[in-house]
Amino acid sequence: MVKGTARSTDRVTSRRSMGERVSQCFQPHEAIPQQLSLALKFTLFGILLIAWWLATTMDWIQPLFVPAPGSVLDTAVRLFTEEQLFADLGISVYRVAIGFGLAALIGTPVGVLMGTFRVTRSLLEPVLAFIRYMPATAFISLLILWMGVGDTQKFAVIFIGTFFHYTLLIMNVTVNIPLHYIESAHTLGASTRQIVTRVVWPASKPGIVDNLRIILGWAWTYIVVAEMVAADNGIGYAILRASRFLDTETIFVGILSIGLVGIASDYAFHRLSHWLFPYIKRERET
Amino acid sequence: MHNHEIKVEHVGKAFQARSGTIDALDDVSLHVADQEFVALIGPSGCGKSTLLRILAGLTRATSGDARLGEEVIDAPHPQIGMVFQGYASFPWLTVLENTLFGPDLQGIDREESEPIARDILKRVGLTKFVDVYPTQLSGGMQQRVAIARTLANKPDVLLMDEPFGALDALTRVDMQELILRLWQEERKTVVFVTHDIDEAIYLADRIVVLAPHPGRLHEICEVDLPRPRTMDTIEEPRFIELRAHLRRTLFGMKTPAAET
Repeated sequence: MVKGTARSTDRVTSRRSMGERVSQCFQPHEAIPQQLSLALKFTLFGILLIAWWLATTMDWIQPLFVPAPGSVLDTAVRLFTEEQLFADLGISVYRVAIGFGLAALIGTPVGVLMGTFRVTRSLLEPVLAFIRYMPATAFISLLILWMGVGDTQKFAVIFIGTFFHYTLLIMNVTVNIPLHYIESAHTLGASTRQIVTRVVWPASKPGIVDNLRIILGWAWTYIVVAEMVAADNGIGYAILRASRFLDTETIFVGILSIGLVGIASDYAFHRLSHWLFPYIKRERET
Repeated sequence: MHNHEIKVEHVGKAFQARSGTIDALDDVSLHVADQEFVALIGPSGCGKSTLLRILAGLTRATSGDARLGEEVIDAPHPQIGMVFQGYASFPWLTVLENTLFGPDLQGIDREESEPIARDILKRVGLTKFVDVYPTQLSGGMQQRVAIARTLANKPDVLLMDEPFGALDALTRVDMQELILRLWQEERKTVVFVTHDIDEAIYLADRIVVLAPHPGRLHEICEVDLPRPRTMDTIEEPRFIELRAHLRRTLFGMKTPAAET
């Protein structure tokens, strides 16, 4: 933290301390003042917004391709209040929640077991690694054939798109638990079952929450694609329909609202992790 | 039955490596008497940690066996506790919860185990940090947690694998005094691995010197210094004599004994 007294010193020293302050901000992993951190977090948003606004008001770009911020905002208000974009977004959130929820529900224990026991790992890893390389989008037509175009098919697309990667990531988290933890539990008299429930599981939890947060972002990519290919509601469908009418404003609103949902869920995971794992040293966080 | 003697009989340990078989230990025999404090010392590659892991039941000997009394040690034993080199205390548990880990595993009622755990924490000097997470503590304090956690299981044998190797010199002295005090209060059979000659002389009744490649018994050195030992012990002529002797022994080995 920069001390408040720096402000009252004379010009020469204050200039020097300014330089020092700047160089201090570029120490790897070093903490920076909280106000500065907060300001930085919004700066690039601000610059992008101004550039967008300039580009449209100065007519550098046609509204058909990039509509003005103001008209996008108006459209957003209209779509969310008078029309049913809110419902569309809700449906997509629901599909992501079920599809990814299922992947997490199965992937977490499977990943932990794979990371703990060589048997489960040898059995499952080759198959998971193989399927992992098949893009979920390539499955969409097959899934429509099997399940139609309803919610089940959407859950399946998200599940296929996230489960295999997620499970392997959880396996990695579990594999990397310090051996010291397991061995000391062993010498303290823990059975295999107790080692899993009282050591491997609690030691893996922070990594699990981290990966949930990251893979959730992927789930959004898959749901939008799935809804664009075949659906009659959802945010992907709303974007697709708008593009048929060259309704760029609505496309913008659709894309931006997914971004906002993403930021909100990121923040929620961040809070969750602070609340669940008060013991983790967070010196490297801002 | 109170036979907490450790008998190591012709123990050999071979590891399979890509380049062939590596003999970590070759025909090591050793008896540690009940309530005796033995230090294992030797250059890297002498198998001192491997021997300790065999005693802990974490690794099996390839030939020969290690026994506690008459019982062959082939798995972690409830009467044998181990303190590891790194900070092995569980970061997700508070200091008190870490200490209660062993008793909890055995299903001992907290009403019974908690007073005992609190008493142990008092003895290792952690009373003020009972509800703190280990990550908030210094290295020395974290190692105290690991010691308390092991003692809460009431082991008769205490194995320590370079427990103070990662600590600075001053903290190390503190911890050595703590170990001596604890051992004086409650005699246990202790096997202590170290690469620090002074530490070995200061703590042990006997020092077992191992030689490397393959790891084998080189010499057993009686530490005939009176107890209780204090910081003044280090300046006694006999201490200095023993230190000189052990230095010559270790540096005289063919491999570069860089660690000591």
